[in-house]
Amino acid sequence: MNHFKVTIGLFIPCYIDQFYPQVGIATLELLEKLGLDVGYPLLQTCCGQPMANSGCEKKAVKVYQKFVKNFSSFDYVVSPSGSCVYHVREHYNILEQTEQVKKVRQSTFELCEFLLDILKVDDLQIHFPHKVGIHQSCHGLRGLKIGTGSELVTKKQSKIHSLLAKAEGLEIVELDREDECCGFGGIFSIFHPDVSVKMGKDRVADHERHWAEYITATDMSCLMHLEGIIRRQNRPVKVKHIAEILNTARR
Amino acid sequence: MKARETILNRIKGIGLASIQLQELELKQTDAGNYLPEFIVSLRNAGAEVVQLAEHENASDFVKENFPGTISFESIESWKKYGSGSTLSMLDKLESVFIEGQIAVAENGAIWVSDRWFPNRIIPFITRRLILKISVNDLVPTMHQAYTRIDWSELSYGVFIAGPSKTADIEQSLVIGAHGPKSLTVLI
Amino acid sequence: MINHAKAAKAFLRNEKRTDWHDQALWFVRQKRDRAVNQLPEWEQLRETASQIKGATLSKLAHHLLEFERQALQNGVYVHWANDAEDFNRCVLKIIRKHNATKVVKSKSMLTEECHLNPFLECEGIEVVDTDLGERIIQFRNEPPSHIVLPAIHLKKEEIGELFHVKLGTEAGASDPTYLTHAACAHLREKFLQAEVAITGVNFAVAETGAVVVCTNEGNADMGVNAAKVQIHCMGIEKVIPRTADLAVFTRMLARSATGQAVTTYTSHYLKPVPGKEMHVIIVDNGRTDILKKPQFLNSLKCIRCGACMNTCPVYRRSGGHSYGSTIPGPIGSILAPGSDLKQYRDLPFASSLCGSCSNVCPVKINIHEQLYSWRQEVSSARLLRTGKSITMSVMAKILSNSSHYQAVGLIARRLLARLPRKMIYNSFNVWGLGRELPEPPASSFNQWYRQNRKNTKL
Repeated sequence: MNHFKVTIGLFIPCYIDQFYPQVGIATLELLEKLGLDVGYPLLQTCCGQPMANSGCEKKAVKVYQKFVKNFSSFDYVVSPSGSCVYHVREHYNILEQTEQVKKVRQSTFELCEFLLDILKVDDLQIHFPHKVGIHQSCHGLRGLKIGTGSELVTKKQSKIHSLLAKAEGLEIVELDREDECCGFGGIFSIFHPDVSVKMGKDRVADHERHWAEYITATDMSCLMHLEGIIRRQNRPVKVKHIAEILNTARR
Repeated sequence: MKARETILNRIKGIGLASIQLQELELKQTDAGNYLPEFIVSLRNAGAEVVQLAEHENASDFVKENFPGTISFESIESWKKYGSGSTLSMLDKLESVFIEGQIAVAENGAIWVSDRWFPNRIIPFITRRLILKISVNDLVPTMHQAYTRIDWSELSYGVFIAGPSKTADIEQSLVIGAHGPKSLTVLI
Repeated sequence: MINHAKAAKAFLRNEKRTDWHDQALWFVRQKRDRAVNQLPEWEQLRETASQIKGATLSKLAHHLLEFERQALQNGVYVHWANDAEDFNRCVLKIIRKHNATKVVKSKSMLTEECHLNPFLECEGIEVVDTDLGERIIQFRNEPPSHIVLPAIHLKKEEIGELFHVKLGTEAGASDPTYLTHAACAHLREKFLQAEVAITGVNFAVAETGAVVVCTNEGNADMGVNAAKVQIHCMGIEKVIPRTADLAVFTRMLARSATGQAVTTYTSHYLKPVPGKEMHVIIVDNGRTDILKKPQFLNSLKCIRCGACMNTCPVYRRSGGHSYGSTIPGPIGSILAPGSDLKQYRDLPFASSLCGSCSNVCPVKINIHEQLYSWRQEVSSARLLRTGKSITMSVMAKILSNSSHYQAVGLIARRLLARLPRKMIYNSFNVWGLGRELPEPPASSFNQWYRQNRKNTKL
């Protein structure tokens, strides 16, 4: 693939835009370092998942349409969020399936998938000398299949592990429960706060039991939830989005 | 009969597009040696395993090692514990010896049907069950096992895998629930 | 209306106990993992099982009639029941015909669903649940909290106390083996006196008329073979076409449910013993309503293994009773709204939509997708809570306008940065009850981009 001919639309989900700009910056810088032509539509807002997961997908249609309009001119749409990408791919089925809609649904990728499946990168020269626990965000794992769910009896693969395999100094810690949900779940975190927080606490504890310094994930939403718990309880472990680790190449 | 017609009409009224039932691809049974796997499965299911040499007679073995066992190789037992027997009499059964017809290597299940014992409750009400199975009747999986059963003659049959058990209290496995507390398999 | 979040909050009040519950079920999930990994063809089996169920459902009337024909030929009485009331009366009629008063019952979620026990008890009939877990909860007069492990929510000490009162076991005794044997001795008396035995049905084979029941304790066979009359209760979705299909399901059921290679007893009832009677009752009770809905009919493929409960991170931390439905957990949350949307409208939301349930399901029911679809149904039926509905309308408005969205974001970040902590972490801030909000950055990514990249594409 000739990197210089394709155009990439950078999709930065709303909560990353507002609260975690550094994740958006890391994603952009990484794609630029790889020599890609990256555009960021300034009028983008959200994929519409919050409404849809609340049962109001009909109310989200305008947001969906806006998304399609913003991104349909790009060859690929890349985002540092498995969950939002999954939503665009799976749940934009309620829109009239015009060529534009079909194109956007097919060409929207989560960052790790894009790096491995489309760009086929081998070594990102990552330098991150820390013990890292990988939290497999559910929508990326079971929805986009960027890894093999622990329930399945198929050949194990994990795109995050593949991308981090050659990272310098980075040690991946094994967890007791390799892919248990963190309990964020979008509106679930608001309407079922007690179970949600308990799930998050357990997830943090699993990482701490294995001496992880950082928890990383493909979704900042999981990490926002876990970080909220970590900070509330003054735990030592930190969170870092996978894009931030992938973007640590020594220049 | 009203409910019958209502339900059937409701189903037919939905008019689902018919999906063709696919033929099941049965893996060819190779004449492999399934005995080691079978023995592991039996032990996992909580059964005791005894391998008899060719010259050893199963009945003699039972007589020697489990005295007082009611063997259904003897016609008298058939009569005594048949349809005329009472539950209180059957409840006193301590040890019973029955011949199994088919055995499944992958899970340790052994097929018995009531053609081979006079009262259906016997394999359950007895405290100890002893099953004999021939290596020739060993198949790798349930797929092969089900093809061997003669359904035209059957009125009641059961696969038995180990002694009765439960883990309903805090997931602690307890061997011996309503059925036998022990199962011995003679191969 | 069921309020899952509230019930879960109560369950979570004892965190140690929640951890214990979570761990006990996770242990079953791990056993399941080991068992299914012994079969390299597992995923193919799932596909096959799902196909068989799908094909059967598509011609359900045909297969039910074939089953009925075979069963009648075998000398079995076949009954049909529209709903729970119909079903309960049908059972009672059979019992009355034999002037019986003592009934033993092995596990059947259908009889739970139809509330058969209280119905029969009102008619002066003694019904004894013979599955150990079922007996425990029957003594406690509460519903099962799990479809395979009915008493998983109880500690052995509690069962010890219960048995001390009900069965006269030693005070303070809590050894599972001791308690189990005490219950079995008590139940053996019941078996020997039983006049009628009721069982559920795991599979009904159309080709032969065989009714297949799977147990570990041997209680179905003890009951059926002791009593003069046997009654098997099945939902219409329990029929499978061929004996060969049975091999697929018996290989999967126990591995999914408890991690065993197969249940201890897989019993095939075809004909009654001469002089005895065998009855089969085929029940609809709302199943044809589910069959009507294309996006939900896959839920009828369920073989009641309970694997989705064991894997569900929400179920493990909220307990089966928090769902308030006969069948709890993920599968219950897609079945219950089909029977009463208003009552169970909260259940499709009792999930983080992690999707583990769909992956673990042996018949490949797309459970988490159905949860998502049920949420849309709840909203379409105008059954969303008002607060939720209004919030979503407002959000949709903001998010469909870029400048509104950026303005709201900016205000939120500024407020978060400047307001005193007390004002932010008030009781309306549900997020903040157990978590900190993110630290607001100085600028959004959008602002950063405008400042740092020139050739912006709009």
